[in-house]
Amino acid sequence: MAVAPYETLAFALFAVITVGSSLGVVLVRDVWHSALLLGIALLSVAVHYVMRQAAFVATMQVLVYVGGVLILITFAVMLTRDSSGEEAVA
Amino acid sequence: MVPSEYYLVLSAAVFCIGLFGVLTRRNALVFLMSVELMLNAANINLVAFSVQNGNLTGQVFSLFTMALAAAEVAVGIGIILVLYRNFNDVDVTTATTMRW
Repeated sequence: MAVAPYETLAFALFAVITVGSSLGVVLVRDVWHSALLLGIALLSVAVHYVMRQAAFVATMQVLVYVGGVLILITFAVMLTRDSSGEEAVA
Repeated sequence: MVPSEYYLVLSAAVFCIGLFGVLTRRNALVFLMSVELMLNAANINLVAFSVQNGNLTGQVFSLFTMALAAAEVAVGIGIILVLYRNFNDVDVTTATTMRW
């Protein structure tokens, strides 16, 4: 089937956002910034689900992951304090 | 619709990034977030193949995976909080009590 050019462009844009924010999760030193970048990655994955005509799965992705999992991780970040001072990953 | 191979490449990239985070970071919270990235890569694969097969089996599998991921994060956060309470940080290499 013929692929519309704007669709490929949108896929490329959100793929770059997904991969970039995922790289940020594992490379950024601050844990709180990692959690925020994980939220961006999960939302862009939900956009990919909409592009694959899986709107319900995208809704559940936003509700369960961003509304549940990310809030739990936020609680853990606020309740713990990293005193190890690990060096940044090259 | 964008071909499925693009989604497979994207999913492989996200999975490799999550595996890199699991293997290189020592912070337990980043460890947990990297496991979430790997589960999301598996979900991307399931949804992409669901459209290719023409039925909803992959989407239902991805919903099961989401429920499993939520439960796993709840248990993992509990373990991390107990780890912090006992060792005063979240470095996974400090818990050596059970090492023989």
